[in-house]
Amino acid sequence: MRLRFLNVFVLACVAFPSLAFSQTLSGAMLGNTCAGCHGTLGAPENPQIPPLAGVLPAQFMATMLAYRDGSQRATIMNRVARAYSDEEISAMAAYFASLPPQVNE
Amino acid sequence: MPRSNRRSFLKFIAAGSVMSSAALAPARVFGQSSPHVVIIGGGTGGATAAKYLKMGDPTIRVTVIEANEVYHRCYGSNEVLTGHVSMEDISITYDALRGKYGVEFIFDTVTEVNPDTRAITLKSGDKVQYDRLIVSPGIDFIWDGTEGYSEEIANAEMPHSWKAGTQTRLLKSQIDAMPDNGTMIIVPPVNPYRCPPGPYERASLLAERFMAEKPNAKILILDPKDGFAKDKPFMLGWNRLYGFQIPHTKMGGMPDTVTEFENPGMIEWVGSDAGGKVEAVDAAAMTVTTEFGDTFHGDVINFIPPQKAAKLAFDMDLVEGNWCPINHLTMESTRHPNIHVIGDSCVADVMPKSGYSANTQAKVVAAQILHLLHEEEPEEPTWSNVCFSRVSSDYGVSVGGIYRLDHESGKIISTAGSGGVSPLDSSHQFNRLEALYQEAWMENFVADSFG
Repeated sequence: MRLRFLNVFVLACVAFPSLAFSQTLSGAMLGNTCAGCHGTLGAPENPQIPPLAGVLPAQFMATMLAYRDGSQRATIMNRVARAYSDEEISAMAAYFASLPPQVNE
Repeated sequence: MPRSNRRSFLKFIAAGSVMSSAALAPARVFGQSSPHVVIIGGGTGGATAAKYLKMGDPTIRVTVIEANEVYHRCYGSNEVLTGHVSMEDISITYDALRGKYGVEFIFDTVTEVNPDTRAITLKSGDKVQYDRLIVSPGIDFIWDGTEGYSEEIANAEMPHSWKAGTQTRLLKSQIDAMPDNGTMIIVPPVNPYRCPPGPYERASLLAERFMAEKPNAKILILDPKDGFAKDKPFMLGWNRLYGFQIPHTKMGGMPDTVTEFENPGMIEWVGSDAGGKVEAVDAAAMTVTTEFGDTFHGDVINFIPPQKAAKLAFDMDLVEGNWCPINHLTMESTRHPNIHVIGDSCVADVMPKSGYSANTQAKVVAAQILHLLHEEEPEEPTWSNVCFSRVSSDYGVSVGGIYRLDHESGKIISTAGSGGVSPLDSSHQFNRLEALYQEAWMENFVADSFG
């Protein structure tokens, strides 16, 4: 079963190189690049860099788009936001909205 | 359409098929026993990979093989040299990874890896079997190339302090003992090396310390390069804080408010075009001699040698030149299947050799290995690097990059039109904020990797 699957896959790669895998970035893959500063799963230890977990999608979208077009000035986020397409910002917004804000223990 | 990453990817599939049919090491799949991912090296790359593998699928077994039970992180160790933090503050245990995520640890040293049988032999004699192996061994130093320099000299007269621990303590003790009017020479390495802004942040923070404690001290940076990471933001900060004369070659884009100084201030930087390349050292006389033939005496000489992938990567036959080539889609070695290489030792094209790069490479490799173990296709990867440096306690500068896979070349590229360093026309408050964010970034980044 495994070998048969792989053979089919190899053929697919050769015949349709661009179809070998989706070239769209997932919300989680995109969100992981934020986690170094904004915390694992969007929940930072030090909230001087704001949490992203549970942020409403509209708020996330509006903030990132404003960073990207420069209508809102930040330190590093203007430089970072310019890397992303509308679709990617939307995928990140949905991803972070799906994560629970950290509860007080 | 030839695509090198695609070819490498196909090679992986082919190698996988051969492995399975030859039954050298039957691939474990779900429904049988849990797959076992082994990680060699518990630094930032290895720790992050372990954490994100277990977060992604708690049912797989993840084992980290690491020599030391306590890790001293390199980033932040410049603040040990200034006395702002202690060695304990940069010490990290693996308690969270073990307790919170269920990562297994073996504190031992790898003596042999057989990529055909997927068996690792340890110094203790124990053997460990893997389905997928991640190697994140970090760097080693190139000791030759400078007359009079050796590993022995690095361990005594001229510490590098480029791996945290004993070396950090040694350099700190020499700086503490430096006379008030003493000279500290910093010799940064050629590219590529671990933590590109590190030598310059070190100069910055020590200048701040010396201004308070040893106001007649000098810091002389003798550089084999004609520029460095965040050079203009650093130099602008040095000009504002430490009387630094900005070289003519770095004046482009500087604000009108920069000050011209007749005499060099506390920090002096000599780039390669001005003869900064050090060709010889004399540990007895505590001098360095440049390629222009000038000899400088230092009360402290912080010689940071050129670097290469760690010895383990060479022993495992993962290296071409000085670094480990990988398929950037899966971070899998192009030399041996089922072995992935991340962190400072891998070839990551435009990504700097930083802890932050290793952290995002670890997240990509974790995601792709989970896909491969689940017999799914790898997904489109992306990486980032963010680094805040302090020019002083209250003045920060930063660099950021968002990276993608170029499907034509198979290389990691910067996302066009984004990233870069702090603007030179930024406000006082901007640099103050970047100093505050430096602290938060360090705390959150360490927690994302180890906590």
